[in-house]
Amino acid sequence: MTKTISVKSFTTKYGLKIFAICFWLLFWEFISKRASIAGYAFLLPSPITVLITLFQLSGTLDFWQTIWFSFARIVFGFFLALTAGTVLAIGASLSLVIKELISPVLKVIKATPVASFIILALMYISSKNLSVMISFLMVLPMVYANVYQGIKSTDNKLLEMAKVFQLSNRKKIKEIYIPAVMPHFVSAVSVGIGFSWKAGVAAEVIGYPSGSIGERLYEAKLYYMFPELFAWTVVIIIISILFEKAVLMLLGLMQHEFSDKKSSHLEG
Amino acid sequence: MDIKISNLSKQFDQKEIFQNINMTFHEGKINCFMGPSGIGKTTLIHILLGLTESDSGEVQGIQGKRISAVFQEDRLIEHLDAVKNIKLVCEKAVPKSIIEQELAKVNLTDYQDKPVKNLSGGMRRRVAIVRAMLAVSDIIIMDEPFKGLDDVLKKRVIEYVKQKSEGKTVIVITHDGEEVRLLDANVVLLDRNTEEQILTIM
Repeated sequence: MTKTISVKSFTTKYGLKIFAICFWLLFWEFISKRASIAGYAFLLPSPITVLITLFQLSGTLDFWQTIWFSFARIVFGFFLALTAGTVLAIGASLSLVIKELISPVLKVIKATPVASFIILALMYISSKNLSVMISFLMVLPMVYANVYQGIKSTDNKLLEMAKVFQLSNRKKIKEIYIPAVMPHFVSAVSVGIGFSWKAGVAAEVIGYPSGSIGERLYEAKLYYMFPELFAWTVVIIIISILFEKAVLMLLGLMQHEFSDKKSSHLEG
Repeated sequence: MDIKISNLSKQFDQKEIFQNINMTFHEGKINCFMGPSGIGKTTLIHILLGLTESDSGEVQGIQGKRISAVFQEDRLIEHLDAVKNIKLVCEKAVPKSIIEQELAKVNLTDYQDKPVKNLSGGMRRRVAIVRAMLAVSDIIIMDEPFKGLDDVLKKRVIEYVKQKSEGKTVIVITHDGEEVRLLDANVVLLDRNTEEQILTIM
C-alpha cells in the first residue's frame, strides 16, 4: 500500500528540521561574532571556521585512520555488549540463580562513574583497547535490562496456547518471544549507541591511546586548537548519528526479513 | 476412554474454587459443560489443559492424549494472518489452499494478508475455531467458542464443528441452551451442590 505524503506535510516535517538547524547555526555564528568582538575569537570559532577545519582535516589519511581506530573499537564494544546483554538476559529469565548472580554486578556497573571505570581499567588493560571495554560496560546493563523486560513481558496467554498446542521451542521463540522482545531490544540499541560513543571517546581522552579521536581531542585542548577541537566533536556527533541510523535501519530490515522468513515456512 | 474427574479440588489464594467434584465427559461425544458464572468451569478446563494443577483429586482419560483448544480469549498470534496462525499449530505441512477451504466453510473470506489483529472479533473467533479443528488432537476443549457470532453464523459454525470433530471427545463450555441443542450434546452440569447431573439431549 503506497503512502501518500502531502507536499504540505513533507515541507512542514523537513522544513521545520532545517529551520531548527539553521537557527542554531546562526545562533552559534552570532555568539562567535560577539566573542570575537570581545577579543575571545579563539575560544569560540564560528561554524564556517569549524567547517573549513573539518574539510582540511578530512583531506588527510591520518584523519580517516583516526576515525577508523576509534570507530572499530567502540563499535566492537557495543556489539559485544549487545550479545552479552542478550545472552545474560535469556539466562536470567531461565534461572533465578543466574539472575541473582548478575544483579549486583550490573547495579555496580550502573552506579559507578565512567571516569572511575576508565582509571580502574587502565590499571589492567592497555589504553589501546580501553574504549572497547568502556563502551561494553556502559551498554551492557541497558541491553540486559531491556531484553530481560521484553522476555518477562511476553504474553503468558500465548505461551499457554503454545503449551496446549505443543508448539516446538523453535516456533515459540520465533513467533512469540522474538516479537515480544524486539521493541525492547531496539530501544536499548537506540539509546546504547549514544552511550557507547560518549563513554568510548571519554575513555580515549583519559587513556590517550595513540591514533584515536580521544587523543586528537586532548591534543586540541592542550594546544588551544579550538577549531580542531570543535571539528573533532562534530565528527563524533556525525558518526554517532550515522551509526545509529545504520544500525536501526539494519534492525528494521532484519525485523522485516525475519517476519517474512519466519512466516515463509507457513506459506504454501 | 471417557474423561473421568474424581474428587477434584482447587483453591486460589486460600479461596476455594471447587471442592470434591466428580464428573465424566464421554469419549467420542460432544459434551457441553454448563454451570453458573464463577463456579470454576474455566479453572477446571485449565486443569484439563495442563495449565494449572489441582490441589487434590484425579483426572483420568487425558494422559497421553493430544488436546487442542479454543480459549475464552482468542490467543492468536497478532502479527500473523489467519492462515499462518492455523499452520503454526498443524503438525504436518497443510497446504494453504486446504486451510482457505476450511476458513470458507465458516464464512471467512476477507482475511487474506491481513494480520489477525486487523480482523473483527467474530472473524478472530472463527480463526481460533478452525485452528482447533485442524490441529492434530484426540480431545478438543472449547471455552464459550460461539460467543460473538450471530445466529445464522453460529449455526453454520456449529455444523462445521460437529463435522470436523466427529469421533473426538469434545468439551464445550457454554451458557446457551440453543447451542447445546444444535450440538446434539451431552450436558454436564456443575453447581454449588457439587452434584453432577448428566442430561442427554434427544
